[in-house]
Amino acid sequence: MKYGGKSVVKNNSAQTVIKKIISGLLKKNITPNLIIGGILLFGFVFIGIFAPHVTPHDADEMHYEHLKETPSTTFLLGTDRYGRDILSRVIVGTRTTLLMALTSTLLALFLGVIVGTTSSFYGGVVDIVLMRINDIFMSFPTLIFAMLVIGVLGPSMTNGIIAIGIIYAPRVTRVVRAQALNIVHLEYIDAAKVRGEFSLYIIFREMLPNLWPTIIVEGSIRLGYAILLTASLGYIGLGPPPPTPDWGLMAYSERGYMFETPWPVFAPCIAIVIAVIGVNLFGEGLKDILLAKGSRTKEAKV
Amino acid sequence: METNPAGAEMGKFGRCFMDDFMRFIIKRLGITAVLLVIISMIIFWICQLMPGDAVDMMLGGIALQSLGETTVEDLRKELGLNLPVYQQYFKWASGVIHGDLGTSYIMKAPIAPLVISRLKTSLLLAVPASLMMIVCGLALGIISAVKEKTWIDNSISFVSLSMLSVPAFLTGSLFIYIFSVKLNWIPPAFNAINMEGIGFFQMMGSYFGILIFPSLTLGFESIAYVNRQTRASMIEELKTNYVRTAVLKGVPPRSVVMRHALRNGLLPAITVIAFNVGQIIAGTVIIEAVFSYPGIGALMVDAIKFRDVPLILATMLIISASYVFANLFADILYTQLNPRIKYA
Repeated sequence: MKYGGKSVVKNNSAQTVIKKIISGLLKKNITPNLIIGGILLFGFVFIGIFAPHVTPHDADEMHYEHLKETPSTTFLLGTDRYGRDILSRVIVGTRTTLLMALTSTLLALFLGVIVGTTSSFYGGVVDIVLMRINDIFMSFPTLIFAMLVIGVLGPSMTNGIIAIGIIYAPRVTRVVRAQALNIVHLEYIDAAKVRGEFSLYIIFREMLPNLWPTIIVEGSIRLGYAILLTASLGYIGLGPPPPTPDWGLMAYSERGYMFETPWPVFAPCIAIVIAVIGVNLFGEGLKDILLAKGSRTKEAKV
Repeated sequence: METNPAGAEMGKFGRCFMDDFMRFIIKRLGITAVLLVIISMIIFWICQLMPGDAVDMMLGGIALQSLGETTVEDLRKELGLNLPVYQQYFKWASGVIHGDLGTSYIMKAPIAPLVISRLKTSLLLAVPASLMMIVCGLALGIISAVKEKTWIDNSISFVSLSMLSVPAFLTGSLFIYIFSVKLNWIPPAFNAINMEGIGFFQMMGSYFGILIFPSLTLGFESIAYVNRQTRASMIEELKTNYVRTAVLKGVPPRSVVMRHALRNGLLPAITVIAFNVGQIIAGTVIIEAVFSYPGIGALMVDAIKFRDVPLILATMLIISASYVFANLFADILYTQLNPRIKYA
């Protein structure tokens, strides 16, 4: 290789992160967190993808002769006030919630990475201005700002995704920028600058590869929060509109019938808890592999 | 109090210290004021992006057609909606400074008294929740740090970790199910309680028994955060040399923890506490939906659902402002408690 910088690019591309995960797995760096979390998370993703095929009943079908029933062999988790099967609705709700949470997390990561890397790369006035703007957006409570955005755009799935993505972007920015500041002064970046590479090239091909572990771990943390925020928005009625089987919305709309049967409220809540625990455990496991003390020092030396 | 060796020199440096401190406070207040102005601008601007304006909201589509264009234009002019956005903002902002938050379209009433009374009912939940967060969070954190890696620590950590994965409305629904449906201790919907015309403390006194449940729900997540932070920083502190010296010197263990380690261990916890006071205020939105509690969070949800712009602006501003002030207070407290921080 002619330039020192190039070899770094080769060794630290996105594939290397995957390789690192796999080699981490092979080296028995597997923590129980990762296994349990992985099973839960990918279980939910699997259920979400195949939702219409794995439900015992149609999620929107109303069984008028079975209103507000407690769990039975026909309806494993009982029925709600319209006689809809709760298990089916929870399963289909997986799709709504995961889609919203995953997409909004990706949006937040996308925005956060762009602003964070730009800010740390240019430094100086750019950094100060971007970080002040960032601080201002972070001085809103997350739920409140999400409500404001949805208030303007109107409650729907897409708007929920936009709202959550925007509100988490500054938080991602902060983490990415902090990590990027460790890299931006390294020699290979200087080398790239000296040989006259474009800024965009340096940011995306030289800096970004070394930021992947941080971004992935931050993404897993954000995903957990995003699921909770999605559910909370659904609960206050600012998520997807009513006929959609959304976990938060289900818990809210059935809360008045708890005297008859608590299942319609608690079933989606339990699904949320399991999903969040799964994501959090998985995130912890990824952190152990990607940001383990040894590998972090190795990165710093690159 | 141990005698402070620097204390003797305080007389000489006292004035200088006060000057520094005042300058710091003034600077922080200035930053906060600027931040609040920017926040209000952002909120105002975002609300301007809403489809339809005040006249559409007030009259509705059908009335709009029957009234004819001229009347509608007159009404727009009267409300100042024909002005450019920045002039509308100044009009609104000067109103806010003078305590006039505008008139709600849906309630057809001035907003300021409404918001203040709703804020009071929300504080009935938020104040006990914050106190609980501070007391329980710190106590549990200290206990788990002292008993590190025993079953006590493990179970506290497990519980607080699971608290962080549980949405507030699950805890709330669980409370309602147990204490309302099964035990009949609390009403299933709190808006049945008459809160008009009763003072804050009187209200707190007469309804403490039932308000404790929504408060606890509100504080749950924050207790977990404070607990985790306190545990982490106390474990660090308990490993330091000065703590070991104190132990070897024969200082009673209780005193080592409470008087030596806690002083330093408290610092990181304070930031987390202040942050969570803000979170508690914002969290009222969810809790009030769960318990059907008539607070400011519920008001804001209604305002957004009915697209009542002045009401959205007012509630948004109040909740964001309390969040900002909580962080300002933490900043000041932090520098007060940590003399190592220079007033920068």
